[in-house]
Amino acid sequence: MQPDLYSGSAEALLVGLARKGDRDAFAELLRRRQAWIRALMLRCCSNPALADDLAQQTFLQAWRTIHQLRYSGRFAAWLKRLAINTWLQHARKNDPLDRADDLEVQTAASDSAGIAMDLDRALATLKDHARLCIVLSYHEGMTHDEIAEFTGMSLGTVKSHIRRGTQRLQDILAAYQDMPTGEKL
Amino acid sequence: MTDERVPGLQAMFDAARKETADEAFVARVMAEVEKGQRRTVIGWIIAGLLLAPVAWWLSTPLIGMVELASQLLPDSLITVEEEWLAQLLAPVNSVAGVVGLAVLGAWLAYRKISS
Repeated sequence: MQPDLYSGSAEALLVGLARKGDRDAFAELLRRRQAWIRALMLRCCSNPALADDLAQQTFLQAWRTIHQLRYSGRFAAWLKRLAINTWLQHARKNDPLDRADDLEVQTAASDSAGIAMDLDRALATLKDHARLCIVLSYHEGMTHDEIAEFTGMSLGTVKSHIRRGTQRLQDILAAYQDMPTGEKL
Repeated sequence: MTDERVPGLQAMFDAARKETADEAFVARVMAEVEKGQRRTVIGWIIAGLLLAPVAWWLSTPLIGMVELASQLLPDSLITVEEEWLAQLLAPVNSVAGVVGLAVLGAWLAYRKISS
């Protein structure tokens, strides 16, 4: 693997080369997109080791099926779809993790690590599909239509998950009423 | 509810966002990619080794079938006395012609169904 070989290349070119089986091009795509996919998975499951495992599955699936990708310019959206499918498959296979239904966030942490921890604990109280909808909406900035299209859920289900999930997060994270960001929860 | 998000919650997600590059992760995934490719190559080699005796065992009947087909395919379906007419109709007035038309028809039907 040569880290610098394709470091300045356009993503569409790398995708084209990876589709032809160029491992170095795929490694560069992986290098560019790994932080994003790992962060998305981490928000979905709150477990760094599991998030990395799911991200790895996503990229291995991408390597196996990249020849099916018709338009190189849609690599990011295609990769996100693979990541969502990986998460949904994981959620289907595994029993729900122990839910912290009685979780209460007592103190509002001021640093980003503390906020992330509290946010993840609050997210862990949501059911898998609701959590995915919330993460795709707030973390990925996707519209409800896009979420419905990506996950295969109906638009009504997506809206319902987000409405209820948002309400639950607001209840749990009430300690953050006076966030340093100045935003009211 | 529209696509609007609760600003405070959005601020929390933004504050919690942390995307860190990890070269070890890249190395791990690429090691798995290489392992997968090695497995594929080994799989093909094993399949080839297993299929070789089968191919050897089937070679005699297959050659026989090819010989039979080569004798049968040019045979005329209807006997035509005139030499020039027989030559003209040969592409359709033969087993090969019928087989060719059948294959062409099946392919066109497949195209129509799959489009």
